[in-house]
Amino acid sequence: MTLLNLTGIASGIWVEAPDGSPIPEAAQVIISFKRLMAEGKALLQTSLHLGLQLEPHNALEEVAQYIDALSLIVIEFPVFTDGRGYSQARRLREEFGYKGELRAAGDILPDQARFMERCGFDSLVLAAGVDAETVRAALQHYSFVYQPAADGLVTIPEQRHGTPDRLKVS
Amino acid sequence: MYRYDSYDKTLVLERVEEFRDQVARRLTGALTEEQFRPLRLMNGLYLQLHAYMLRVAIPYGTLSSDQMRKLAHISRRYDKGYGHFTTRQNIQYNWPELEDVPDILAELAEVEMHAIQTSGNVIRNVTTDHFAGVARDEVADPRPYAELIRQWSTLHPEFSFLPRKFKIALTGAEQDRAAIRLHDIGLKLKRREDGDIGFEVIAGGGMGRTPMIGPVIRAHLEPEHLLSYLEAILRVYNQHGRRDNKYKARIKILVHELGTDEFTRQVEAEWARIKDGPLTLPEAEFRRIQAMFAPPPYEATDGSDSRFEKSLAGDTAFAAWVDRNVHAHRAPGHAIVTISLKPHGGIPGDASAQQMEIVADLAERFSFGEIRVSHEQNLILPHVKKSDLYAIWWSLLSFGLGTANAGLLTDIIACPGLDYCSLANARSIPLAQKIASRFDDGERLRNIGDLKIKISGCINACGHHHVGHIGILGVEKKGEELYQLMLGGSGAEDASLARITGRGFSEDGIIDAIETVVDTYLNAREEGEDFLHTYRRLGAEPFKRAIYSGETSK
Repeated sequence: MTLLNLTGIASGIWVEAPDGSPIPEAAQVIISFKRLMAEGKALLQTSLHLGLQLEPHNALEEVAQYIDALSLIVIEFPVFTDGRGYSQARRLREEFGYKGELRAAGDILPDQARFMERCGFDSLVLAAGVDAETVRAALQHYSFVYQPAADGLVTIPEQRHGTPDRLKVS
Repeated sequence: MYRYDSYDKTLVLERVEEFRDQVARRLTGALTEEQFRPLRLMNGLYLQLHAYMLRVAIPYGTLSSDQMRKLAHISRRYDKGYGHFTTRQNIQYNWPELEDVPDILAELAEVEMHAIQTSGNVIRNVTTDHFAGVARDEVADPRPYAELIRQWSTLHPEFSFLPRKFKIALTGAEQDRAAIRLHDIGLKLKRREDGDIGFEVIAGGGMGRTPMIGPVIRAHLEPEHLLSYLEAILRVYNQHGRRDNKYKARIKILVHELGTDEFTRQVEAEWARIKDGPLTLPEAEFRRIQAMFAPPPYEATDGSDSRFEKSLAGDTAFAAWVDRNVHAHRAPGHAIVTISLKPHGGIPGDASAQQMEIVADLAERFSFGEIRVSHEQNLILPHVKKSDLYAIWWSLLSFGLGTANAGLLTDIIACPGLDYCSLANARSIPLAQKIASRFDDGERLRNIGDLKIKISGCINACGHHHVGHIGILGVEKKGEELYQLMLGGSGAEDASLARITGRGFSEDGIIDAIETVVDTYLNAREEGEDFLHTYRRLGAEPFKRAIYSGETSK
């Protein structure tokens, strides 16, 4: 497995704490959605750096109250055809204002990396057999985008008519 | 027509190079077929029964003469000299070699065309009224909005792995020629009582194995919020559409299972959050696009045309063609021409390279270089002077394009069926050809009047059998091809789903049954009543009785 850093904020080693096992102390710990729901209030009282593992069906509304306490959210792609994680990522960024690291894991094709970057992911966990160089090359294929997304890029329709108001510095 | 600027051009060229690289990796074996599959599907490349099939996008069914010539050239150089125009206003090539596909895409890019998102679980090529911009019953031209949707949906980072494919259709006219109630999203431009123009938004229609007529989820959407509203619908669908069963994954199932009210509530809640964001229609950009769809400089005339009237009076074959294939135009002295791709005995929707070139030439000389593809698999010349009609008709006749059957019984929609498709249970094309042969009599056809026959070779309904006035569904039973007869469907503004009549028929049997249905209609119709209205007035019973009673053998 390779961790591919897209935005420069990927934060290194995290320890997974499976449901039911004790939480390791003073570490960067990833817990499940279920565990966050059950123990989130107590965990907030500790000095832990908390990471959350999200499945595609998990409801983001339930996570909202913990958003500022999370430093990593891992969104799982169980199969590459399951695109729910793209919407989860954009909603976390644009609706819930999540500022921490957003990481994609699971079944990821090289040609999907660009879409993930645009939806607000900072890092990708590449499975064995996925070549990081191919992914890096795929990230560079396109010079322009047509639609706004979580990356805030200036879109083609905006470029055609000068700097849009949303990007003007007052 | 829309013309690419340097941004559009760059993006399409980059897409070609990306695919060239993917094909190279496949040819060296670096990618397995399994790994290559999702990549080729994003470029409209299917593996069919006998060969690859490449589907090329014709955004909202509009082509220039140059583009049509390029399509002809591609069919000649890389295929077998013909192409197939589809019910989604696209064109398909049935015999390309894999290693040629990157070159085909590069040639398409030269004329501002591509195959992006013509397959896969993505927002597909957006379709619209083939009379857009010239129809008399139009409130506003839907094409600038269709182009906005094309751009917004192209390589959309969030919506490229949807539960299932996603089709959007628009119209700006009263008469629905785009089947908007049978699409994942249908949009209709309407003028409200206060004079404001907005979209009526329909979601969750569709055909396939679970046909549904889509409900209206918003009566009036201000055009500046079009893209944010679409994004809200797609976001709800992407998160909650079913992914456990391919056959229940279309948005129609989500709308049906949640109920229209709950689905609408979720969409409206999402929309409220994003509606005044960066997707709000930029006025300057809309004006830029709209200007490219301005009407061409029609010659001013008072509408009277003695030459045309004389030809009409003097040539009954021409008059018959005008009666069926020429339609009212908003500019005085002008007309819209339907070029039938349904010659009796031919393959519905197919055009040879030479025919494509003839149409391109005619469009250049007589229609400001513009051609449309209709979802009924015909070609349209949208801007023709009435005084040119007679010359056009003669040219069309010489190249097998002059069949006077638009909207008649032999103007059949048929899917490729078992002759090409790996999903099909039965052949569609030979059946369409045999029906046309049985009814190969212009006077008889004109007497029967408006009648839409639609044939699908399997339950996936690519031939739209659910909305045929007469629909035919090919099934397989104990190794035999069997055809089920359905009656009373419509894909237009009076949308309805056809109902199955009873047990199925052999190929010859179904043609007899169609003839019986037609005879029953002719005996029962009231003055000026078309087939669909007679069927609706009488119901299915008299037709079923005629088909099944008195019948001793298949």
